[in-house]
Amino acid sequence: MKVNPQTDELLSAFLDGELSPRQQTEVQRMAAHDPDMAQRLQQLRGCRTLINVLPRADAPADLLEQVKLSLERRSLLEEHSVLTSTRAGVRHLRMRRFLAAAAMIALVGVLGLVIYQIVSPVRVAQTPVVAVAPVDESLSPAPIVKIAAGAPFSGRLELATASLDQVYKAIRMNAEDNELSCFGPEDPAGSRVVCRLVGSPEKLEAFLTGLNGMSPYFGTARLLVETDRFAQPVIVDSVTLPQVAGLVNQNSAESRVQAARNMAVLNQFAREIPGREIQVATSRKLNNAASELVGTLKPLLAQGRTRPNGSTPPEEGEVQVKASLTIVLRSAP
Amino acid sequence: MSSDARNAAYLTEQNINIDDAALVRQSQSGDTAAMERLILKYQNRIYNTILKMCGNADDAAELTQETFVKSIESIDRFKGKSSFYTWLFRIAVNLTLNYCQRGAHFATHSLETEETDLEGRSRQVLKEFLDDGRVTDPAVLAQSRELCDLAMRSLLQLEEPQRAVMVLRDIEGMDYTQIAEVLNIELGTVRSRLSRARSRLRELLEAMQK
Repeated sequence: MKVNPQTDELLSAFLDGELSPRQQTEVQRMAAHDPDMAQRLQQLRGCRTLINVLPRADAPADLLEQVKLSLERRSLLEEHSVLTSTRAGVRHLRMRRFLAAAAMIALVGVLGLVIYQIVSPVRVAQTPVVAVAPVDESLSPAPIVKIAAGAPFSGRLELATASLDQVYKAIRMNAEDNELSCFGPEDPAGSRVVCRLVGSPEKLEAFLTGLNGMSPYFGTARLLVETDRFAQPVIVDSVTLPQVAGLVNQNSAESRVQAARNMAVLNQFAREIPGREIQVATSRKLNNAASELVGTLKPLLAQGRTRPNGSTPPEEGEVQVKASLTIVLRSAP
Repeated sequence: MSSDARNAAYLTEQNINIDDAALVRQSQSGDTAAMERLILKYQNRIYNTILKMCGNADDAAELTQETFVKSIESIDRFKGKSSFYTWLFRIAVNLTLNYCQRGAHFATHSLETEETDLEGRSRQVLKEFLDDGRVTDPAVLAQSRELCDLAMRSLLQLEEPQRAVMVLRDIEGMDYTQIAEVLNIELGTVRSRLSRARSRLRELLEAMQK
């Protein structure tokens, strides 16, 4: 018998009572008149019945208990899962807080450092120290500082003294000893004497060193260091002869002017701050310490190097630069 | 007792005379006794349906248990848009279909190994059933253990969608609308799928007899 799916569907629905009353009647009529359709209907009914009569099975007797146990197990597992996830969450939260705090501290530290570097004042030593180039004979001969051409020291040293004649004579003698050209009167007349010393920076420096023994005879001392600006010298009050020597030995006009300015500030401190005084460092260690403490004074005299009087003569071909120092002596009570 | 009478008794026995909706409401409010009554009410029907779909008693017990666990866990989400009965069977059938798809080999394998054993009385009984259109008396069929075994083996050879619709209709006794709800398919699909399932079952039985 040829199977028609549409007819099967109709017959199957007929068996299940899923057709409308009119369709039911129609199928009954067709089956009554069509033996093939009646046979097919019988086959399908047989299949339906065969499945329908399959023995029914009852659920296991302990199904309800098994369901309860399963629910309890799941509940416990969920609780454990919640606990575990909660612990993990707490750890995660703590770690995040710790990292956030560490990041904040690092940020504050960096910011503080930056701000400190921007706004921190220049460190000044409790006791201002002026580092003067040490006179250290044991040191190996240092190379002669070659002063750039066009940047010789030129300045004026104003000294007040009660022993004008005595001091002037010492000046001339020292100048002669150090082979400096001295332009000035041989004998002082009146209360003011002016002389101009010209020579190499080394000789001028040696002259100043040699004259340092007369310091007790000086009253006030002022140094005017000429700059590249006309009539605008740097004035260093209360200057000492070693300070002047240090300036003479500076190898460039810029560093000399800067050193003179720093020196003026230091001397100002020394005068105006009670209990402060300028200490003259005579060792290299102190010189380094002064450099660290004074900060901006670093270039002051660090490169200074004195050479004993009459030491190594200038090498052949070396450009000799003449430094000049005008000394104005005036008598003071 | 005739088959229809037996079915009626079976269904009546399980139909505890309490409205499902009331039990569901009580269950949703945390009444464990109501949940237990729902389980007791449906456990045999669910188990039987699953067993006929998967063919293995242990698997059926496990799937039935899983069905009730899932239904209890999600009872709060049951909004009553469909009946609790179809909602519960939807859970059961979906679980079973997923299970069968994961281990689809079991039924086919079972049939193949036993196919060679079909001889003697079984073959004779099957031949009578297929040839004699009059042998449709349920009582007679139910008495034939050999025929029931063959029917079960043929049922398990059907494709799962066809098997599901046939079990829901011919064993559980659902109407087409309920089947459509449980399987989430169109009414027309239920009708055509059921027709093809019966036709295919007939073909399988005829193939066994040859």
